[in-house]
Amino acid sequence: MKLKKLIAAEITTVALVFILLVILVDFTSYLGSSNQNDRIGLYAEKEYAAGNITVVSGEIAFVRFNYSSYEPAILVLELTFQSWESTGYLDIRCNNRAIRPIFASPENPIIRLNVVSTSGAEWVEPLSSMFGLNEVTFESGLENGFIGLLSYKIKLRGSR
Amino acid sequence: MKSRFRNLANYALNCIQRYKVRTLVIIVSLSIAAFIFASVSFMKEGLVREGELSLKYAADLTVQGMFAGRQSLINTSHIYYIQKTLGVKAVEERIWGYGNIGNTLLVIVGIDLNNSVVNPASVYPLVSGSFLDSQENNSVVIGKAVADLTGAEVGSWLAILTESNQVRQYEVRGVFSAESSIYNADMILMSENDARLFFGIPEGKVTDLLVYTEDVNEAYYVTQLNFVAREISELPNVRVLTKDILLKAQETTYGARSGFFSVAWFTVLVSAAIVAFNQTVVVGHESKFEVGLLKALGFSTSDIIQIRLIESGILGILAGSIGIVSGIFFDTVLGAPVFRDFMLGWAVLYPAFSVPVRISAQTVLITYAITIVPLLFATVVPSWLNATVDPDLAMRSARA
Repeated sequence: MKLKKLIAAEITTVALVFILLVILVDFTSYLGSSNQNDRIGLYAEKEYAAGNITVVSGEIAFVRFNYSSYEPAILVLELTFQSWESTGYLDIRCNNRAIRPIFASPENPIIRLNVVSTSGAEWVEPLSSMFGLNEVTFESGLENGFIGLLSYKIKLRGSR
Repeated sequence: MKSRFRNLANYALNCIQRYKVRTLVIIVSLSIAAFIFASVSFMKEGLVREGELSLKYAADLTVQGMFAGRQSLINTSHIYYIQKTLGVKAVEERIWGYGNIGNTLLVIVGIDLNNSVVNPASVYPLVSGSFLDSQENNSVVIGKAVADLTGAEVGSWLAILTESNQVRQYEVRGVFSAESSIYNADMILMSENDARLFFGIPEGKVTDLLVYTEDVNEAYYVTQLNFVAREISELPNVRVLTKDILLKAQETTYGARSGFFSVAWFTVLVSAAIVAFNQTVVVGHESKFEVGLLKALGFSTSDIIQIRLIESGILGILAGSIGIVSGIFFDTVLGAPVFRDFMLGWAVLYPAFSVPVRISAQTVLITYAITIVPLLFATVVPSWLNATVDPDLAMRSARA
């Protein structure tokens, strides 16, 4: 009989402690989850920035976006050239790493670039680096450089 | 004799209907065992057949470089010697390697577009776009999984940061058809020169050499192949692989993987047999009176065993059929979730992948055998024990 009571008291104590802990975690704001989940997910795509940029010879135009996840992302750049004051090469960089120049001409007004890495170094910096701040720059070379207006969409795809 | 069997069969069918719980327990447990076996076997056979098909256009011999017991790059200077070997029709260079994007392992293959023995366009059917042009550099054809992963489509540019942290940019010219997706879903195909730059492989070296032998009578094929393989083996630091070796390696891989499932399946089957045995013993105890009555009415011990045999046969066939149909449905319609990841061994598979399935008569017969034979043993022994008891004693003990 005593053993039964002892077991019942033990179970009740454990249950009470558990319930109290749950209540404590739930009602203490700094112990709770942030409810933020920026994971994109495999095969999914999310738009991070979009707009228009006027590219002028010798100047660097840039777009910044925040990526607050640790998942290595695939960068997708959709560029639609709106006007050509001068056809030519446009240097695109992501976080100061060159994605090789592209030739902008009326024959190819839409360019889609899918930027991936097999080296281990990532194109898109995660939260641990620069607090997730990323920068894509567009630069027209002084010679044979593209000058004009383009609209861009910066999308990221999940890889895990 | 015929009507006697019909009567016994009718009685067996009545027993199946009367002992509903036992029937249900046996069918469910055996169906699960049959389902696991059938699903994995159909998938394994499908994968092996895909392997055979993929080797249809493969070179007769693949020559790899070896260094300190490990595979290494091979010197292209060997081509001169190999081409001079009697029985050799052509030698092709190939550069290939792996690249990781996230969790997905991709295969990057560079082929010699100008000196290809087999027309690459026939080996690699496309779902959209066009095949690589030998006159153009920096263009690729990608597999369906690569397209799904990167979001690249025909006409878009794929910029890849290589192992040496160099950026290479390729125009996507085409996407491989899903028909042959198992072998090219994760592939990025490019020209040999592009692959050389991508991996930073020096001139004069390639990943492997593909050797095609002269077309001869089938009877002499193996003799010629062995002769050429032996001659090439004389070269220093090389390893020669035949189609058979590649196929056996695939079979061994899938066989080993399905072996893990076989262990799980065997456990389920043993459990199912124990459940069936237990149910028969319990029901057998309940039906002791019935057995006693049957014997008092003139049924012999063999008649009672026959009834149980017919019962077991019907239940086994039914469970086997349910298992086989479920296995086919699971593999073909649902795409064999969980099992397929394990069998294929890819880090990540894309959702729309259809698993190759082959339904052979051999697997179907084995599935029926594994459901019927253990059930016969599990049910006949208890029924024989019941049937050998004196009818009077059986009825009295059942009443007690």
